[in-house]
Amino acid sequence: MFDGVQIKTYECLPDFDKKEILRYAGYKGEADEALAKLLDECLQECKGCFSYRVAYIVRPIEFFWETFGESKTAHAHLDGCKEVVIFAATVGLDIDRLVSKYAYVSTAKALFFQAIGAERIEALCEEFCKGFGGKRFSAGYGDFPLEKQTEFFRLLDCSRKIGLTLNDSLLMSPTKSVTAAVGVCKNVDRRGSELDCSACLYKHCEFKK
Amino acid sequence: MRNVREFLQQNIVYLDGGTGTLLQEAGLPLGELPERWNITHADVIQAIHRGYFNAGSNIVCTNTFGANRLKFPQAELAEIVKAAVENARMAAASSCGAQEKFVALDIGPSGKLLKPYGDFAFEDAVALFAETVKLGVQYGVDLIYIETMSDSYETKAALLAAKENCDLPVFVSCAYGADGKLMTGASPAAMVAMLEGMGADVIGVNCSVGPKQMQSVVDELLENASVPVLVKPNAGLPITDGGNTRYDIDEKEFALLVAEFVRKGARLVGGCCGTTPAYIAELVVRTKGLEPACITKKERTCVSSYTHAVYFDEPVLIGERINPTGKKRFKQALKEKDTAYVLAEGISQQEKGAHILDVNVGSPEIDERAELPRYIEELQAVINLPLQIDTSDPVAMERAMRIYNGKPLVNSVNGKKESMDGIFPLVKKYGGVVIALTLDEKGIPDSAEERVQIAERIVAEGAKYGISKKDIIVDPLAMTISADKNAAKVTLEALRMLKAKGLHTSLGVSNVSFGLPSRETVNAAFFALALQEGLSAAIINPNSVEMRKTYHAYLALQGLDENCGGYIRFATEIIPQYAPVESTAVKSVSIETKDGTPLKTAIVKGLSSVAAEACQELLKTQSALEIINGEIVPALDEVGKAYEEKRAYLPQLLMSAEGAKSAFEKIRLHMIASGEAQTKKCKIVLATVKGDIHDIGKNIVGTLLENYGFDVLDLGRDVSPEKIVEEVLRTGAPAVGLSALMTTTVPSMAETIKLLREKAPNVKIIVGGAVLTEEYAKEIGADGYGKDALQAVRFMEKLYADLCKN
Repeated sequence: MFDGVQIKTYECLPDFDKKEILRYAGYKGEADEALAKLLDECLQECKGCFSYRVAYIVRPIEFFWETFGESKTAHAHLDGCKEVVIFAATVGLDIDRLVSKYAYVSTAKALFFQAIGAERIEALCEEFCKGFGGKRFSAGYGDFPLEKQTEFFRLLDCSRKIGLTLNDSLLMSPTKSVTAAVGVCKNVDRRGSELDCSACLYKHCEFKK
Repeated sequence: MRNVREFLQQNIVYLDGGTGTLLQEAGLPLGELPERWNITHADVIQAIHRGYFNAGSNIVCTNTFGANRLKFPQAELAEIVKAAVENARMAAASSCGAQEKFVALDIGPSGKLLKPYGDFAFEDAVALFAETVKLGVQYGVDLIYIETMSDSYETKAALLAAKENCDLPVFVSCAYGADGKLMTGASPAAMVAMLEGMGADVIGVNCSVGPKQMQSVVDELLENASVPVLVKPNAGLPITDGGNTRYDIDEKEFALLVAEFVRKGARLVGGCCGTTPAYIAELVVRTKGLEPACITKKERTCVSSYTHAVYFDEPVLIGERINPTGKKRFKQALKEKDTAYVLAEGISQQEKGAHILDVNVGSPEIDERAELPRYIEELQAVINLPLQIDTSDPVAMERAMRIYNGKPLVNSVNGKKESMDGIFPLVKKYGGVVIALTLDEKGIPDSAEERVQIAERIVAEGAKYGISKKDIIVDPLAMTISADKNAAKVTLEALRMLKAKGLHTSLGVSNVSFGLPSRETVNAAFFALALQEGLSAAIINPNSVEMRKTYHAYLALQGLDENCGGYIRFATEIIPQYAPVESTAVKSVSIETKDGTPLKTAIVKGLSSVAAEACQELLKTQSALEIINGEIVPALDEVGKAYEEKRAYLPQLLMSAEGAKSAFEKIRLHMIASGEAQTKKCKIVLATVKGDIHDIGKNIVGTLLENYGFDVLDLGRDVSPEKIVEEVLRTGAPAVGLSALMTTTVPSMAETIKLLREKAPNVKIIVGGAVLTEEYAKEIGADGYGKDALQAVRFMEKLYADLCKN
């Protein structure tokens, strides 16, 4: 089934960004020695536990509007693009297992593993979106409703292609996963150096840049 | 028509190829459910099936890959399966092919991930597959074909459903990725162990990749399986050209590659995504005249987890620590449902080199039938070692074996008729390797000969159930030499005799020294002697350095350790003077401690082993209460204050919490030893609400509350409102903490609060989670809002103070 869906896997990604990991763990500033040691231990332990997989389709831009309907956020990201890439990415289940394991033994490590997973899935999306020109956006960004998540799963056959599943509350398993759309706009580079938080409606975010 | 099982014995069997591409060519739009086409486009479906029968397929799979109750209502599901079977039958009848033709009920994965990482309960998965199986049987399929499974646990659910609802042959095929593993981590060998144990007729691989990338998986299946092996690859890897997808291998290359699998021993072959009748026709031509490979019984004893198989070819260490016998602290943990404590025992044994973990939670006051399966589920969520299920209650045993994700080690059966009648049917149904104790109605025989005779009786009785002797490991029982000076000699002799009979053996080694001083000395020597007599598995305490020394030295001495690599690694890690010099001292920390005593400093700096040692030292001179109030709490407060003033951040807060936790563990052991009762502040029930599977925030709150002396009952994640209410009423807890991460799960939190207000109006509720705000917390009727874990502590401190006043 769904033979139109492509799969891309990555043997490895750019190296861990420790600063980002610390940020996801709620830390600000330079890590002291104890913290840096713990982080290194965690990085050592989860090396090789990632399995980077992306399922995607490339479609004319009209397909996006027919499938997902109107949204200001989507327009802001896609206007001017002729094609759209719709994708789902995951780093696999092992990092969830590590988080669960350490929840019982060391919450600090669990926190770090969860931060490492967040950094990895972002790195995977960045790597995958390289070269499309557009900036990716997901269900739940701005006015693009979270409920559209089911549409991504309907299109991409995520469970069979990359082992990614959606529950009734629209949460994904493995948790370190992203579904998103990105415009292909060869001429205009819309990507900033950092993710843009300005479109987000959530005011209380600790991680706002 | 001939029987599928018979046909399989004498022939190379051709399966069909892909249907997805063909359906899309016929106009099936992306995202539409293809199973409906059985009814709406019966002619198209029949033509596809007929194409495969004409090409020479012996078995065609019904178009029911996703035909289950998650996707279709009951009535429509029945219609679809009925039409699907009819379509395949019509195609067989109208095909020009002269070969034997069979129709398989196709069952694909549910698309849901099973608990604990997904939200689909194991028994719900069994029920889901059972419904489709029953329909297939009703409409007359010849066999069940479970395919494209990417999770071992779901595969077990599907096979169990098939076995419980029909006597038809069941073929089980999984989708292994380019790394040769299932999406959730299982190796082909692990899958063979589990599926063969449960009675799959055929085991195989399909989808995901092409024949080139499938080589290692096919080899591993052929090497381990004692049943016919099935191979159904894609037509290579997909490539896009101009928006269209095609595969990179044509029918000729495909047929040549797959014919090679047949030569190696594969007995059932076909194609998956991208293959067409032309591929199958070519495959039939290319394999013409090949002799079907002989299927040999592989007599290797192994158990498996959801990732890997453990073989008994070389000595295996079974960790014995998850067992309350003689351990007050462990009994207390079981009584308090302190899952964390039990899991930590498991994790530490894995770190110390155990290959398998024994799990025994039998203790007075414990409902073993509920708790044993619960602990098995908890353990297999975070530890990838095979488990040895240890109970004398057959009901608890069955429940645990049923939900175990792999092929378990079963502890145990013995020569008593009652025991064999109870255990062997379970081993037959769920698969497993069973430990056979050489005792019977008359007790434990004194002589080695008699123990071996009991072992032979057990093996003979097992054979009646079809359980092979490779799945029985004999424990000739180590008895203490302090009671009988010849006890060890008899056991060693029995080991020698059992080995000569081709049986594997295991021993609970440490029994031998019962009643003697310096037991480890005797244990280690006995262990070495037993290994020399061919002992296959030892149940030991992996924390015992002496036992591990013996084990690693034995492997090195017997040429079982290439370049002594394992021994050297062990020696340099364990025995301090051989370790490379490394500074473990941590010099700078960002939070400076005032008036730091060693314990306080260690907690503030988050050094848990230092904190444990410092606490141990203090316990010699101070009372538990003095240490808690004079050292631990002030240290926690100091870090908490730094956190609130943004001089310290969450990771440091948690590292300190761990430091405090390890100090508390010392205090706890001290109090248990001295018989002092522990006092805790009030109870709080914690849960992540139904539908939500994120629990790191809740776990952080739990850790901090425990540190501040609260009695935390953590119900986990994805917990229904009913369950939360039930536990609040059962425990009489004055407070509940609820966590929800997503906007989609906040309604579930509101629903929980509503039910709590109705059934337990006095309970105080505090909520937290990423998307929650204070205003929203009020709106849904919570009493408190925790922006972070420390606020939750403050809330509880205030509540406790109020409770004490009244």
